[in-house]
Amino acid sequence: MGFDTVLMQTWRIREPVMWLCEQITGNRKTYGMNLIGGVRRDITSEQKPKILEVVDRIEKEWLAVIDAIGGDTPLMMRLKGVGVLKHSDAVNYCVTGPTARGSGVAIDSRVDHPYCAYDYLIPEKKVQEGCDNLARTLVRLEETIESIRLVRQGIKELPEGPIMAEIPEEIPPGREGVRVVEAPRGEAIHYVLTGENNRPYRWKVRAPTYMNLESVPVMIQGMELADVPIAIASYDPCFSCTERLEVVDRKSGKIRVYTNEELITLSRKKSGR
Amino acid sequence: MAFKTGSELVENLKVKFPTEIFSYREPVPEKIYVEIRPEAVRSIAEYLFRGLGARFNTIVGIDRRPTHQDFQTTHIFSLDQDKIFVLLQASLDREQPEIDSVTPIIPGANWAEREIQDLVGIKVKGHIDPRRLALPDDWPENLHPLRKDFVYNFRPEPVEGFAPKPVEPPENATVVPIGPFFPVLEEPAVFRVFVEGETVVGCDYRGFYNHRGIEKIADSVLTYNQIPFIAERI
Repeated sequence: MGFDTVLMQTWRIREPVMWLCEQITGNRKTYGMNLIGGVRRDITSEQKPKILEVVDRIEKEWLAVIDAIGGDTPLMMRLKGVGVLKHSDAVNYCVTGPTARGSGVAIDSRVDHPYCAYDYLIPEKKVQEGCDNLARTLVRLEETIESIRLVRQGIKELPEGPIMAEIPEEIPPGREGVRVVEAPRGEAIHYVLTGENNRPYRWKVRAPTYMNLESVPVMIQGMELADVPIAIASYDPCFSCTERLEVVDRKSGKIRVYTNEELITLSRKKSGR
Repeated sequence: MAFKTGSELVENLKVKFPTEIFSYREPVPEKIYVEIRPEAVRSIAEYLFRGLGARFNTIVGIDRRPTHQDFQTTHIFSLDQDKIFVLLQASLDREQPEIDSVTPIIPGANWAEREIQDLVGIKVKGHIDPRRLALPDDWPENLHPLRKDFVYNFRPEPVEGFAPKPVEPPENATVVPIGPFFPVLEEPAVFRVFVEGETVVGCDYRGFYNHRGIEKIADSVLTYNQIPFIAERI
C-alpha cells in the first residue's frame, strides 16, 4: 500500500533474529531442527544471553513502531473498516490464526490444544473485535510483544536434559495420529496413518493459509477495488522460499540463472560474514 | 455444552444418532475416532458444527484398497473449549466411492471436498461448486494421484492449446484479474475480481499452480526421518 518505510523498518528490526537463528540452527529460514522424537541441536549457555539481548532490543524498537503507525492517519484510513470479515463468516469459513482472532473468534491452538512446552508457557489469546484490516494488524502487533515475553520465559526456565527421545523399535503400521500446531498465520494440521516400510501410509497436511484464502471472496464482496490487494495482504498469505533466481537483462534479453550456492555466496558477501 | 472426555461426547452423539454410529475408539486422550455410516456424515457434521459449536478442520481421503478393500474419509473437527478432536470416519465403496457434501452447512469445507475429489477420486455428492481445485484443468479424467495404484513420478502429457473455461462474471460487471503473479502471494494464483465501477461484486479464485504433491512423495519415497525436513518446506 505504498507504506514501504514501515516494511523496511520491520525488516531491519527482524535481521538480528535471522542471525540468531543462523547461530542456533545453521540456517536463516529452513532450520531443519525437528526430527521424530526431538530436535537436533540444543541452545548453548553462550547463546542464551545473546538471545535475551536481541529480544530486549527488538522489544524497544517494536514498541516504537507500534507507536509510530498508530498515529499515522492515512494508514488508519486504509485499514479501518476495510476488508471486513464478519464474525459469523469467520466461523462459517473456519478461518484460523490472526485472521480469526481479528474477527473476534478466540482460538489459538497453543492454548486450546497445548503441545510441546505450552503447558508451561501459556500465551495470552490476542483477540480483536474489529473484523477489519486494522483488527488483524493489531492482533499481529500484540502477538509480537507476547512472543517476546514467551521467549524470555522460555530461556529463563529452560530445563537441562536430553533433546532427543530414543525410539527403540520400528513404528508399527496402522496407527493414526492428528495434531494441530499454531503457526504465525494460524493453525497447521497434520494427520498421519502409519504404514509399512518405515513410511506413512497417508500423511495429510493442511496449512493455515488454505482456510484463510477460502474466505477472501466473502471478505472482498462490496469493497472498493483499490482496497482488494490490501485486504488480501492482511491475511499475510505466505511467501515460499525459492531455490534459484532468474535475472533477465531487459535490453539484451540475456537470462542468467543463479544457483543456490551462488546466492548463498552473494548474501554472505553482502552481510559481511 | 461442555464435555470432559471424548467418550462423554460420543455418548451424547449416540443418543442423537443411535443407528449411524458403529463404534468409536480413543487411543490417546482427547482424540476420538468415530466410525460412522457414510450417509449420516452431513447430519452429524451439522450437529457438531451448529449444535456443539465444533470447528471444522479438514477432510482426509485415503485409498485403503490394499489393506481394507475400501476408501475412507475422515472429517476432522475440534471442540476448542473442551480440547477434544473428533474424527468422523466413513468407509466407502471401493468401486464407486462417494460421500455427501457438507459444504452447504460448513462453507469452509468447500476446498477440502474439492481436493479429495481431485486427488483421491472420492465423489462428493451435492457440492455447490465441483470444479477442479488442485489438479490442472487439462489433467486426464479418472486419474487420481493419491490413489495407491498411481506411481508417484508419473506425468501425464499436457494437452496442447487447452484453456479452462472461466467463470462468467455477473451481468454488467467487468473482470479485473489480480494475478497470476502477485507480489504478496507465494505462488501464481489468480483472483478474477468482478467489479461494477469500483465496487467488487464477486470473485473467482484459481490457485494450486505450484502443487508439489508432497503427500504423495511421503507415502511412496521418503522415510519417517526425512519427512520433517520436507514438512518444513511446505
